[in-house]
Amino acid sequence: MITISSNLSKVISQVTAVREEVPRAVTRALSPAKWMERAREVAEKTLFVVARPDEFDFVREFARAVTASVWQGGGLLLRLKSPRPELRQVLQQAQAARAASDGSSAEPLLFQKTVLEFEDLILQWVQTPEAEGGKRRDARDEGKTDEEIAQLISYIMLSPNVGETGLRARSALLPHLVAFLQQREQARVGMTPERIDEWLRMVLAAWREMVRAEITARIRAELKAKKFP
Amino acid sequence: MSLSSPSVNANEIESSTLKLWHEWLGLWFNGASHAIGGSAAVAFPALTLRFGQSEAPQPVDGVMLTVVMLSPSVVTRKWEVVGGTRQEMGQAPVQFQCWIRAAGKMSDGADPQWHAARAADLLFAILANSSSHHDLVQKGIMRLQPRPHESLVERNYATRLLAVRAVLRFPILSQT
Repeated sequence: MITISSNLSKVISQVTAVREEVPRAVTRALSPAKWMERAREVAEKTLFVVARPDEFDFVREFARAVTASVWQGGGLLLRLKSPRPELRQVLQQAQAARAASDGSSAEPLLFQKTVLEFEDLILQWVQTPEAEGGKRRDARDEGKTDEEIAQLISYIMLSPNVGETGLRARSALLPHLVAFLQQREQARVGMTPERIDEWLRMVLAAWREMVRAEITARIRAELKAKKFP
Repeated sequence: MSLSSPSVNANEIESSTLKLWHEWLGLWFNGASHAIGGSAAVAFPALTLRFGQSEAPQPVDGVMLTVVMLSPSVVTRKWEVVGGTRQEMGQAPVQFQCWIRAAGKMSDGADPQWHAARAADLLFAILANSSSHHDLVQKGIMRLQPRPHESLVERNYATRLLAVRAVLRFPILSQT
């Protein structure tokens, strides 16, 4: 008599178990906490490769700006944004800060720094000679100190309640301010926006290679931890 | 070619590994012609080699290769018989990121992009050829798997990134 036996049902149940476990293992392997330090290490090492000696001071600041979070319910999002926002962001933040602060003494320090930074830049523009990109003086400025002129311009640029005339003045001032502030951007931030963009793309390329190299081993390790071969 | 630097050392994994890379790359990218495996000899450019976070010469003139090693995240240990003696061996998967950057005046007047691509192609070729990288294997840098290099935009440089996976193998000396 011939007996035929099969382990097919056992194999099927093992494969079913693996199929159910793999997505869970992938989710665990992509946990942001498991990638954060590695992403920071790669960012820092990459930036030291491309940085000039005068840029070395910024490398660690950028590396500390790396964040890792969950993406769309189970993926991994690694993000690096410039820790030094462009000045148009500073303007938006200052406008929002001024609007949020109703002038009361409650929580003054929360918004003060952003507004003060912008007001300081306006004062620099007023104090800079026109030949060096500073404000062109006209009859409206006669008899006023630099601080008074700067204060008025700050009001026009930041106040949420300027009216039609104020909005027209804001539009007229903005291109001159942007041109001046862009000149100062490099001195203030230490790097041009183009250079910051290059840095971020280098780190992105390095991260892509890092994830490609490590993801399979990490998923395998998660499966092994649950006793899957 | 054979390397004089010591093998990968468990107590100085990164520095011993990068020292081997430095020596090995210096033997290839020295301005002379070398045969890759069984192929006819080809001219290899002389590159400025840089490792980890050492300071780059400024300005970069010519082609510079910087090798960055990502520290191993896991080390597995296993007892084996090596040369007739039981020895605990460590194994660690690692990744190297090779940044090739070219700038400035090239001696032949060719575009820095061409020089960066050429250096990256040659590096890929010697890493992908088991005969060419055998010296690294002998010293504990094994299972080299280079990926095709990628061109990156950088205003003042022609830049290429070539990533290499490898496995480091080294003795763990727990016996006196």
